[in-house]
Amino acid sequence: MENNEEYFNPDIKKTINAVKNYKRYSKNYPLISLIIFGVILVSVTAVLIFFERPEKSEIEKRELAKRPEFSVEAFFSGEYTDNFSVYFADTVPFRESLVDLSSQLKKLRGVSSPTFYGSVQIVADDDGSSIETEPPVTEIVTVPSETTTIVVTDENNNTSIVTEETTTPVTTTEITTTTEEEEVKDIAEFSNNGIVVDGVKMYGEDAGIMLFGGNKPEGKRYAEIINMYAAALEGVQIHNLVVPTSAEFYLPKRFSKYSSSEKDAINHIYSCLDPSINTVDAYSMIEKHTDEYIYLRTDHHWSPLGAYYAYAAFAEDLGMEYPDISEYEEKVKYDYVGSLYGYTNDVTLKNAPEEFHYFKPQNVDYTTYYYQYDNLAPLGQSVLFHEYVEGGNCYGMFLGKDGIHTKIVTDAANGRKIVVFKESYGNAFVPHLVSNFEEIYVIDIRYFGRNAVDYIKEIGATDVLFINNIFAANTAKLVDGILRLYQSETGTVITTVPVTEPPVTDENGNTVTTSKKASTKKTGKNETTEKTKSTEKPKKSAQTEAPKTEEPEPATVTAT
Amino acid sequence: MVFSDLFFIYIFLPLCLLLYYVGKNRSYRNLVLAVFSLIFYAWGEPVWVTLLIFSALVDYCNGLFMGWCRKGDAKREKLAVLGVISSLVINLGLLGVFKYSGFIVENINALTGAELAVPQFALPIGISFYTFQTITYSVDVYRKKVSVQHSFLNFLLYVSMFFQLVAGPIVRYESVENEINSRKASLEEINSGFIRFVYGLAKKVIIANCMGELAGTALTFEGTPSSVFAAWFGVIMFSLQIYYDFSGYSDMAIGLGMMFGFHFPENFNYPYISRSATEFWRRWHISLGSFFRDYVYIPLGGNRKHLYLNLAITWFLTGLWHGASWNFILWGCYFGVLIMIEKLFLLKALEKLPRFISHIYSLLIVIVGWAMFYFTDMSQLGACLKTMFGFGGTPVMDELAKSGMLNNVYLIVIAVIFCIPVYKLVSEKAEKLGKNSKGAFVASKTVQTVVTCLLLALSSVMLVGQTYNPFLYFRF
Repeated sequence: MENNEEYFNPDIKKTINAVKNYKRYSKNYPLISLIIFGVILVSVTAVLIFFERPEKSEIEKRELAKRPEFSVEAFFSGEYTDNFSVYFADTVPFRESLVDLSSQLKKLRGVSSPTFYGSVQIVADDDGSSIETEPPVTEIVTVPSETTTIVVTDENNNTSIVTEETTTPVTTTEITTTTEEEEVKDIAEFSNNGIVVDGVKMYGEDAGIMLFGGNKPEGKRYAEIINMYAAALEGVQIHNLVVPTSAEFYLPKRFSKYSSSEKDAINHIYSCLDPSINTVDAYSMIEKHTDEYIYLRTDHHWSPLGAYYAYAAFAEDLGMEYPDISEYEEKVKYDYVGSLYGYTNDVTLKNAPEEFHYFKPQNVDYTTYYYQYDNLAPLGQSVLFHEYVEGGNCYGMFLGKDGIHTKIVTDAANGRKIVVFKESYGNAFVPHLVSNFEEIYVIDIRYFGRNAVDYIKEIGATDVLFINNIFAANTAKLVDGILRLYQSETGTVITTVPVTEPPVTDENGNTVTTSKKASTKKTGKNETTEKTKSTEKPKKSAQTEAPKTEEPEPATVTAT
Repeated sequence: MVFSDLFFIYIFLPLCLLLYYVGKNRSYRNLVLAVFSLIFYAWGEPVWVTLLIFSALVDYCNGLFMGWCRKGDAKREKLAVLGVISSLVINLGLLGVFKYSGFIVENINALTGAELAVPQFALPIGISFYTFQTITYSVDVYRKKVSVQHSFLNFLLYVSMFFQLVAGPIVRYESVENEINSRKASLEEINSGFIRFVYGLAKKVIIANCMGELAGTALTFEGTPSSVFAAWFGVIMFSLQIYYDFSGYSDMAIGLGMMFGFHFPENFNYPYISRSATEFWRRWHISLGSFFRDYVYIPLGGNRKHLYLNLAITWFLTGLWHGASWNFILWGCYFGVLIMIEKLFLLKALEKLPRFISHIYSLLIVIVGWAMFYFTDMSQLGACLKTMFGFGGTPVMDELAKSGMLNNVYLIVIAVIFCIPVYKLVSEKAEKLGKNSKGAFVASKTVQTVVTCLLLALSSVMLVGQTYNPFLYFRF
């Protein structure tokens, strides 16, 4: 017995001691740990409550959500709490840095390799030739002449510009330039197929490339509407110049499936144009210079040099002399990071700023006048190059804001007057024309507010140039814009219906895909599939009981 | 409101904890929790919160009624069954009207060519969970497994508790009965609860959301997926998403419960290490599986009489519960059939085979199951399955899916690793070492606290990052 006790005792004692010991040293742990968590929670809470909340996002170029006003109806419809949640999440103090940090963290999730933004679909064969879409379903709608106002229902961004313009009288010195916000908006308006960043190089440096979705039926409609202009404007020479984009020349071969052939798309448009229309082959000219800096790496536009080569092709068509690039005054802006960064928030682009070279015509006298785009009220005389722009806004230096109607008078004295129909690609192009035309009128298709045919006759133009990038010339919205300018009655100011949508954070990749495809991409058959999709998706999420205000992701799965 | 939301984490939760712990009185604490729960619910459903209260009231009364029956003679006691019937009729009725009426009418229209108006009810959040919870109460009172709750406040608290209201787990009255009436949380439990909450948050925000994006990209297609790889990649990413999303939510619920002294049963137990469909359902959404086992399958007769009919009914209902759409029913029946086959012979056969074969079998059927779960559109499902097994006529690989994988490859590997019980093994080992040495204890707890803080910070930053929304401009 004694032996046994002696054998067991020390072991039990040891165990008891160990337990006692453990109790002693583990006693304070939960408290210490909880104090640490508590301090963190409370400090973040304090920051969230007391620190100033941002109102605008510089990177995204948008107004952040506003704090909703409380009302009983808004509360019971669920709108108040929804909007409050959106507001709270959207306006976190130090948001900009935190968003930046999160995009840098995302880069740590894997091996750096090409990153696709937006919805990317296969739109071409392996060799890059476009897959034929359905035959055109959209018809040219000819509006009876008594219809005076065409209501553009879907232009929320436009509307904001309208109010901005009409409320702020712009004097000579205060011509505003295109803001980056509008540039980002441009991307959305085009028939794009997403953007690829990282792993894509241009001129040996990191670049972003917007992939071309293509839409031949829309291109055909674009051509047919220009034919209508040609028919209505006898005696006026119509020119059409469709500009390829960087995807055509710089996209690595292995991604060619995701970008449709722009050459095919341009040729398709040209083949649908009336023979009386001069088609400018800018493509071949640009193609010869792809080792030069003709497209911006971080922006969806071409560079001013690229615009120069397109101009060279145009001048050759006209049989006119044009200055050599060395005859211009070359100037540079540094640290330019363009719209593709705003769109993707991909740090690769932020870390690869580019030089923005631009070229000012010399030995030509010209004066630039600006007009309110809708009623053509004069805004006064100003410079053609708004050189004070900096950073992300560099592309906005030409012609000021897109929405302003511009007239340039030069000393060319050759009796040639040209009207240019353009979207933002045209901005970098127009300044070159000062050597060849005595009067240049610039109409931004998206904003001009009068009947363009009447206007062209009124000013006695000899030439009309349609210059658009291939994305725009394949996009219903822009094509509709050209049609609208053809149809609207003289002197009518086109009203736009405000569509104000608060920024919603629960926008997920899928929704974006749906809305974009439905609005820009293919027609016919796809519309029906989209319909079923859009009715089914929300239903699914409702059925599976995902918490309704879930984060931006296809969060259909939480609850099940 | 959802848990993975800055407002919830930094405003709602601290405020609730503060108000809860300033008072010591049990009724006060229950009141605080009930009020916060109703605010939590009303935040997303300001109108249908009434439905929740109604459902609670119905079963509260059913309970009282059955209590009253018990106190009488044998004849009156027999009336108690009415309490159960009333609970089933009303709760299932609510579910039928709000969740299934549209689906039923659509199908009647499709079958008969009738043109009945399809009811358009927005599904009230959490209705599938709380109706089931109240049913368990009435049934268990009838079965005399639990006693009648006389305080409406306490009963309302059980039904509306914000931890599990929105996305489960389905907590039976039985398991919280004592804690509703009296509970206490030690500092240690509050601490572990918070840590558990943060782990769940990280699962949801860091992993599930990313996997969801990848799945969405790979599985959004017209016609067929772009490649065999894209189809598999998409479905596997969805499998990871749904696991991390849902189990993360359960972790958050369990963690929150612990912070207030509740002990909810586990809802997930590493489902992807299963070796059969039968085992998978013992490890996946355990509270749902056991609900159907105890309240449908066994009452029907279980394995004692017409086993296969019982299995068929149970699995049809399990599928249907997940959503009013045929794909969920298909998914439920698919598992029903697999489990029948396993019961017939397959389980025995699998046991004789090497382990890795049964693991592969089990993963394969689960992943194919998730494809059924993902696509509400049958033609899309068909195209996806065909592509997965090489009959889609698509290339093996495509750049888009490949770059999606490469860009997130580290996170995917982490996600896969944490599907197996690595964390469990490590924490148990640390616990054991900590019991014997002070150094190991301090080290392991320091690591735990630091990791928790990091995960909280990361998740918060990602939550802010999610509001990045230049896509806004696509809304013409």
